[in-house]
Amino acid sequence: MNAACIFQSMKIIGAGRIGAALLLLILCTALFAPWLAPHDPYERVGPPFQKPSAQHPLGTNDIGQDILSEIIWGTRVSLAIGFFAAAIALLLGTFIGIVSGYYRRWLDPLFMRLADIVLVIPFLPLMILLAAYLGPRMSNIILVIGLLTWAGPARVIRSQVLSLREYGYVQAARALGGADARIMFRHILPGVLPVALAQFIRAVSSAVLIESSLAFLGLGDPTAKSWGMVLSYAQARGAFLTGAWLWWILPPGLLITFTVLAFALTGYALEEVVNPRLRGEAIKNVLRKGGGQADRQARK
Amino acid sequence: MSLLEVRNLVKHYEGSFYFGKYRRAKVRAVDGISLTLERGEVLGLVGESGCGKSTFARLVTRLEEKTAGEIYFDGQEISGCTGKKLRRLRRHIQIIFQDSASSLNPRWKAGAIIEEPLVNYGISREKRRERVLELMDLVGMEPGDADKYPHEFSGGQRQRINIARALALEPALLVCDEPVSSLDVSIRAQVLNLLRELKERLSLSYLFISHDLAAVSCLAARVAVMYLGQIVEIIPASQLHLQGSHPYTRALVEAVPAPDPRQKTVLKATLKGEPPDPSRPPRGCRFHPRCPEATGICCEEKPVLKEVGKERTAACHLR
Repeated sequence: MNAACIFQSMKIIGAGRIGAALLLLILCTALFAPWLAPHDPYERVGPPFQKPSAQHPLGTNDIGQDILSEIIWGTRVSLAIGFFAAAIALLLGTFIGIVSGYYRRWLDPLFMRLADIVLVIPFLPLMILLAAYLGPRMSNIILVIGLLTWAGPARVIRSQVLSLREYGYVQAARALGGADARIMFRHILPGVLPVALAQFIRAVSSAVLIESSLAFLGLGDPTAKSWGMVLSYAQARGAFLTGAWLWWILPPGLLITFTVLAFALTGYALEEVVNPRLRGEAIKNVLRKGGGQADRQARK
Repeated sequence: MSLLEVRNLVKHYEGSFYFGKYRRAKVRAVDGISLTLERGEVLGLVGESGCGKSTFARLVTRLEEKTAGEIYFDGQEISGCTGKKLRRLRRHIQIIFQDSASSLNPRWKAGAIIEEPLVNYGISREKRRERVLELMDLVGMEPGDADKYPHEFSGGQRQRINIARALALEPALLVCDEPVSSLDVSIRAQVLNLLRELKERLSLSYLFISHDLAAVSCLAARVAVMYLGQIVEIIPASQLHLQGSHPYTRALVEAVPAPDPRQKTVLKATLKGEPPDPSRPPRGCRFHPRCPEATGICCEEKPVLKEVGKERTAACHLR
C-alpha cells in the first residue's frame, strides 16, 4: 500500500470520526429525550403560534405545543423507524445475498432479477401507494421501507459472498461434508458481517430520509411525532408563508440533514475499512485480529 | 478393482453468454483424462501451471461438476452423486489444498478446525475431543496448539492442520493438490515425510499433484504428466529422470535446475513460449507448436496414449 492510498483512507476515516461524533450526539438526544426536552411534546403548554422566547426556545405550534420538545422527541421516533426499517432491510438483504451468492445456478438469477425489479421501481410513488393502502401506522411504515430497500444491500453482500465462496476454507468445508446451511451460517456469514454493518448504517440513513418524506407528504403516523411529521404540520399551517419557517421548518430540516450526513460519513468510512474491494488487507487485519497479522505483513 | 478409475473425464468452462452468442470460446481445462489409481498407491500428477491439474483434483473430489466422462471410486460411479450419497462419499475422498493459510478459516481455532468434519458426520462430543487430540498427535502437533488461531502457526504447521482435518474421517483416498508448493524448501521435506509416514501407517492412497518433480518422485510410484488438459505420458517415477518418452516429459525434467552451479548444463530441450490458450488448443498433438521434434503428422493427427514400454504409456506419434 502506498502513501497516497494511506492518506486517502486517513481522510475518509477522519470524515468517519466527524460522522461518528455527530451520530453519538444524535443518539444521545434520542436516548435522553425525556430529560432534554423542556416540555411534553403532546401537551398544550402555551398559546398557539408563539415566537421563540425564553420559555419556548423555538416557539409553539398551531395548538400551543413546544416545538423544541417536539423535535427532541422526534429524534427518537425518526431514529427508531430508521433502525427498525434498516434491520428488516438488512436481515432480508443478508439472507438473500448469501443464499443467492451460494446457490449461483438456481436461486441467484431468480433473486437478482427480483432485486433488479425492486431497484428500478419508481420508489416514492410506490411507497406512497403502499403507505396509503396499508394505513399510516408506524409498524406499516417500517415494514414498507424495509421491504423496498433490501435490494441494494443484497447485491453488495452477494458480491462479497461470490468471492468468499471460492476461498480455500469454504471449499474445504464442502469437501469435508459440511451441510450447505452450516457452510453459509458458520463460514460465509461471519465473512460478510463487516460489510453488512456498513450497509446497515447506510440503510438507516436512507430510511430516516424516506420516513421524513412520507411524513411530510402526510403519510406518517399522526400519533408519533417524527421530524417529518413536524415539518408536515408546519407546512400545513402555512409556516412557509410566515416568518415561522425560521424556527418551525429550519430546525427539523437541519436535523434530518445532519443525521443523514452523520450516517453517511460513518457508513462510507466503515465501508472503506471493511470492504476488501475498496482497500487493501492491512486495515482489515487490524480490525480482525488486533494487529497481529498486519504487523507481520508490514515486516515482510 | 482399482480404488479410483477415471474415464475420459472432461471439464469445459463455458464462455459468457452474450445476446445469444458465446462471446468467448470454451476453456477446455480437462479434456479427456483417463487414469487409474490402485489401493495403497501414490499417483503423481505433474504439469505446468494452468494445465488443468487442480481442476482435475476438484473434479475427483466433487467440488466441481464434470462436463462429461466417468469417475469410479471403489467400483462405483460417483460423478452423478448428489445429496446424501455425495455426503457419504465425501468421507472417503479428502483433499489438501495448496494454500495452507486460506484453507483454514481465520476466525476458528485449530482444534475447532480439525473437529469440523467430525461435527459434520454427527460424532459425539467426547469422541470428537479424543479424536482431535489423536489427530494432532498423528501429524506432530502439541495438544496446546488446539487453542491457537491459524495465523499463529507457520506455513508448515498450518499444512499439518490441513492434513489432520483431512484425515479426521479416515478417508481411503487423499487428493493432495500441491500440498508443499506454498511452503519453504526447508519445511517441504518435513511435510513430505509426514505424508509418506501417514500413508504407510493408515494405508492411504494419494493422488499427488504438483509441478515440483522432486516432491512428486519422492512419494509417487507412478507419475502422470499432463499438458493442456490431457495426459501425455504415464511413467514409473524411477524412470522419470532417465528416459521420458514424451518430449514434454523430458523438457520438464530438464527444466529442473542443477544444484551444482559449476555444472554447466546445456539445456537441450528448454521449452520456448507459453502453453497455448486452452480455449483454442492447437490441432493435432497439443504439444506440437513447442515440441522440438515435431513433424508433419504431429500438426494433423491427435496422438493417443499407447504402450511404449514396461508399465509405460505415452501419447506421441514418434514413439
